[in-house]
This record gives sequence, structure tokens and C-alpha cells, in this order.
Amino acid sequence: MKRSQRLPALRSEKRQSFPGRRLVDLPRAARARILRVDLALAPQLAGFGLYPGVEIQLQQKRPGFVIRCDEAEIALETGLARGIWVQRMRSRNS
Amino acid sequence: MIEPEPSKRIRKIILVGQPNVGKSAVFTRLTGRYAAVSNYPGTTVEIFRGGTAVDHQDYEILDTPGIHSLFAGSADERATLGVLRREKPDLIIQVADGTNLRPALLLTAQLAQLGRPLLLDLNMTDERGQKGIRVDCSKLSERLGIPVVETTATTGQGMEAVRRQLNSEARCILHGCQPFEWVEDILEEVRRREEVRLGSPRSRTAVFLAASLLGVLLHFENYVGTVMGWPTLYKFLEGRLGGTGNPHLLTAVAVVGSFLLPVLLPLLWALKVDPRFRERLGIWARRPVNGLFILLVTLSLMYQFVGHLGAQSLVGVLEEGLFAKHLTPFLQGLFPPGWLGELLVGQYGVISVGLTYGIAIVLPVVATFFVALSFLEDSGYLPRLTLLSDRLLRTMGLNGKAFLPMVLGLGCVTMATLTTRILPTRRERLIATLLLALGMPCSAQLGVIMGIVAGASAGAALLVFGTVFLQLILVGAVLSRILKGRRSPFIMELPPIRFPLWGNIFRKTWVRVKWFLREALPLFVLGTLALFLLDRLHVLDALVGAAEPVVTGLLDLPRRTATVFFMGFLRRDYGAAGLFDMVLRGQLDWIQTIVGLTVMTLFVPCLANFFVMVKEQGLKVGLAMVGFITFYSVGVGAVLNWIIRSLSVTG
Repeated sequence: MKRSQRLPALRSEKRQSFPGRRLVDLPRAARARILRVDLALAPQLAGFGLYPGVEIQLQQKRPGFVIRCDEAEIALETGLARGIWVQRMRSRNS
Repeated sequence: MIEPEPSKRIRKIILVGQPNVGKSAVFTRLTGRYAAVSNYPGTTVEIFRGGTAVDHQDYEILDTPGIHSLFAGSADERATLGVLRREKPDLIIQVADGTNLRPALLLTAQLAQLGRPLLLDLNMTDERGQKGIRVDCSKLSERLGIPVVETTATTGQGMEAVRRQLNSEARCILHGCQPFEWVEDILEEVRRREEVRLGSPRSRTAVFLAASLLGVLLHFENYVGTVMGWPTLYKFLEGRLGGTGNPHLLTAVAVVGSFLLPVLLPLLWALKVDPRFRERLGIWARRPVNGLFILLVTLSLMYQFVGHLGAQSLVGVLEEGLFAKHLTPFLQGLFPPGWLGELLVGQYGVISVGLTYGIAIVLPVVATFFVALSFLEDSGYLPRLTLLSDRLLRTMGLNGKAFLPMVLGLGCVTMATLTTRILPTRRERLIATLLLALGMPCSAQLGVIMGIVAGASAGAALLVFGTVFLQLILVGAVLSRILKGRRSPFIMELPPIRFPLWGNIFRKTWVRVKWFLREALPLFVLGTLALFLLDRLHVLDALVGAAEPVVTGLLDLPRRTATVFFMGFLRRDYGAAGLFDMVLRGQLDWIQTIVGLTVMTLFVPCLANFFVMVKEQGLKVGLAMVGFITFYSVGVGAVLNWIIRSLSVTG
């Protein structure tokens, strides 16, 4: 089952040239800044410090997503990660 | 009405904060009352009250379950918000993770809206030092308009400053109504990062230790198990120890000497001294492949500790050594056969059965298991397993979060049923409660099973646990289809791997063992008394007779097993101990052992668990669950029995 088949709404939004990409499309270990959060998920994600403007690093994608935000590691299922749009940043070390 | 003098009035203080930031540790430090402390979110599910006094002023202090936000709607969050509204606290102490300020300040912004005096306690300062983060506390205090203190509640550092601030009246000033911007501004000002030390991608010590661990693991299992053999080892040890002659004591020495010392000690040592190893372990533990490997190592260590050391060696020493060899014969000599003798040391004697089961069989298992569980709880390993198990639990209509109640169910199903409260929806709580009651063996039961299968074969263990596990998945999957409602999404903070404080482990184990002695032991004695009376009045025979077609017909078990199942009603472990006793006496063959164990594991939860189920879900649901479980467990047992017997006949 492809993601695009399951979530047509999100895909059309992506096509509207929104300046950013989905967190689920980033490779592992990428750094990024959160641009936008699905409104339905926003209160829950904000409780963990995930809201627009915050810098994160993607640590792991399988079996679930792990995001590093400052010193905290947050595990979330793929469904939630789909609701996060980010802007990729250059790696700090390289 | 005369208002009492302000100084005489008891001031009310509520501890609030994110899950797993140490509210309970602060609570314990302030009040001296013990509230369970662990390294995973959701340890506290009820509101604890305690008191303290500073400068002739009395304070009442409330500990609340952790919350992420005042506005989201899980049961815990609603409960905490309710307490905040109802109790009208004179001071709210927000306990926060000093290493993770952003979510903390966001909660501060929300708490500020309540308009009550507020105090911010940045806890876990010790870890911040390790991570190279500095927070400008006076600046933070100035920006928020409230006192800010730094503490390390597990060691008590900084708690004096908190006590001095208990009469603070300062309210938080929130400028503007853009909490996100406000939080980011403050963070910008107060946070100084010294050097950020990233763990090297392949820490050499870690790789070395893992390799040596694996080597030692394989080596010693082989060495002791096959090459040398237990009898040889006994003889060797017997020679060394000057012919003590007690095989169980020797097993204990062998297990500690050959396995726990060479494997566990280096591992513990590495965990304690090397922060990079801890970090690496934390990452490995949540990866799919390495995570599975670490899980297997953890389980095998636990099996050695609880299954061999607890369920075999210690039980052997106590049961066969103390009770069967010395105490019971001594008492049998003291009380001549007759009414009183039967009551105390007969077939259903209070001492020969009740106390023997409680103290000699169950207590050592419970104690060793609680030590292991407490260690795991405090290490921060369990939340990583929630991530790994998320997929699996989703097929049962749950999510990774439900893993915590499930694992705690291995400690005590009754207590675990209470912690299902951390699950957000009623549907999930219902599923988790039923699965706990159905298939989670509690510590004593687990230990007894381990003890039995350690004497049998690995195949038997796999068969029992595999069957039970399959039922969990099956019933969960069916339930998640039937029940209306949606699964809640999984999100959880993974705490850092910590080296547990021995003091906390032993304190927690002691509290649990005390609880066991207080709650369970009387039930063991009362249960035996009830059995004795039923036996005397010939009711037991009738009951056993009524159950006989099922027990002997369907399950091919001996008649006496029916009694054991009745004992299981009272307490699961009581029944399991009864089964253990039968195995020790050689009354069961291996098929009967497997079937008996499976049915006993799936069988109706104990009385205490039933009461909690009724309390949490209502009488109707509770009864329905018990009814379902009774039929289902016997059904599974019958099917299993049929399969094994037809296979072993043809094979």
C-alpha cells in the first residue's frame, strides 16, 4: 500500500508548492526546522515541544520515528510524523 | 465565621509537571512519604497526599500524574486539571526536566493562566551537567516573575531551596498571548550550551563490551551446560565447599559464579562508568535489529536471575530444605495426627500448604523478580520497548504506550490494571484490561512457570509462552475489530538510559515485598483455611467432582488439578504454586504440565484483579470478562491437549 494512495489530501497540499517537505521524506540523521504541523495534531505535538520554528534531528524511521529535539528524544508513530512539514537544514558538523 | 490565623492554616501545594521528570522523587523528598519512582512516564496514576512543615507552617502536598498540556484530553490530564481547579492550591510547584526546557516552559505558560502562585523546579540538574547545558536561573526567574530552583531530587540536592520557597506568593507573568514566541524568547536568553558532546558513532568500548558479552554468554552456557555438566559442577563445588550436600545451594553458587558474575558485573560496570556506552545502548535498544538482540540478552539475564536463582535455587533451599525437611516434620511431631494436626500440617494445612506456598515458593520468586523489574524500570529501557512493540500492539487495537501496563502485568496484574489509566481512550483501556487478565502471568506465576520449565525443556517453555502469546494477539485483534472507537496515536518521550540508584531499587523492592506479605500472605492462609473447611465438609469433593469431566476429560489432567485451579481463583500464584508442587512430586507428565500451565496462565485472574477490574470497568464488564476468560482458557487448553496428543501419537 502506497502512502500516496492513502492520503490524497496531503498529497494535493504538497503540490501547492508549499515551501517545505514532509518529515517522512527526510533521510535518517537529517537536521530540519519544523515549518508547519497538521492542526489536528498540533496540541499533542506541542506538548512535546514540537511546533513551528523548532529545530529537530531525525534519528530513526523504523520501526517508528524518533526525533531529537534539543536533548530530548521523542518517539512517534509514522502516522503522526506525516503531519509534520519541515525545512531541511545543512548538517552542523559537516 | 472566623478565618484561622494565616500561619495556622495548612497551605496546599500541588506538584505538576511533564511525565517522568521526577515529581514523585520531589514529593518523597518533601514529605518523607514514599511514592513509587521509576524511569518511565506514567509511574504515578493516582494523586498522592503528604504533609510537611517548615518554620511552624504546615503544608499539604499533592503529587499528580504527569501531563503534557493542560488542554489536551487524556484521562490523566483531565484528572490533574480537575485537581488544580478543585483544590485551589496556595502554590503550584512545576517540576521540570532541566535538560529539556522547551516543553516545560510551554506548560509554565499554561499554568500561568490559572493565576495561582507558581514555583519552577528544574530537576535532574545532574544530567544537565553531564550534557553540557547551562541555564541562567536568575535570568529565568526574572523573566517568568517566579522563583526558579535547581534540584536533583534523587539525591536530595537543592531540596532545601525548595523548602525555603514553599511560602512564595509570586505569580507568573506572561507577556502577550503568544506562548510559542514567549517560550522561544526566554529560551534564547537563558540557555547556554557549553560543548555539545556527541557520542562517537562507533564507541569502541561499547562494541568491545557487546562482543565480550556475547562471547561470555555463549561460552558459559556451553561450558556449564554441556561440556562440564551440572552434576560435575556440583561435585566440583561440593569438594570446594566441603560437602554441604544441598544441591540447591550449589546451584545458587554455580549460577552466581558462572553466569551472573562474569556477565552481569562487566555489563553493570560499563553502564555505570561510561556515559557514552549508556547513550549507545539507548540508541541500540530502540533500533529494530539491535533492539531485538538487546531484548534477548535482557530476557536471558532475567531468566538466569529469576528462573534459576530465584525459582530454583532459593525456592529449593526454602521449600525442600527448610519447610519439607525441618519445619513440617518438626511440627508434625509436635501436633499428633488429629483435628489440629490436620489444620496445621495436613493435606490442606495452614503451615504445610499456606505458608509453604507463600513463603517458600512464591516469596523468593517475587523478590528476585521485583529486583529485576525495578532495575529495568529505573534504567529507562522500557520506553524503548514501547517503540519496538508499537507495530505489534497496533494489531491488537492498542499502541506502544500499552506496553508499559503489559510489562508491569508481569509484576502484578492487579497493579498493572490500575496503570491502564495512562491509556487515552476507553476502548484501549478495555482491551488492555482484558488482555492483562487473560494472558499476562504475574511475577510469582511467571517465576513458577520458569521454575517448572527450567526443569523440563526449552521446547516446553516455548510451547507454553507461544500459545499464551498467540492468544493475546488473537483476542486483541478480534477485540479491536469488534469494539467501536479509534486507536490513539503513539507519541512518547524516551528518557535517557540511567544507571539506577541501588537505594531506590531496594526501597522499591522492599515496598513491593512488604505489600506482598501484607496483601497476599493472609489470602494464602485464608485460602488454605477455606480449602481445609471445604475438604472437611466434603464440599471440595463435590466441586472437584463437578469440574472433573472438564479437567480429566477435556484436559487429561489428574483430578487434583481441579483443586489447584480453585486455588488459582484466590490468587494466581497460589494456584501456580500448587501446580509447581504437583510437578515436584512427579504427578504430572510433560503434556499435562504444558496443558496445566497454559490453562493456569490464561485462567481467571485472581480475586484482587477481579475487584480492580470491577472498580475500573464496572461490574457488568468485569463479570463478562471473567466468564469469557474461563471458557476461553479451558477451550485453548483442550485444543492444545488434543493437538499435542494427536501429534505425539502419530509422531
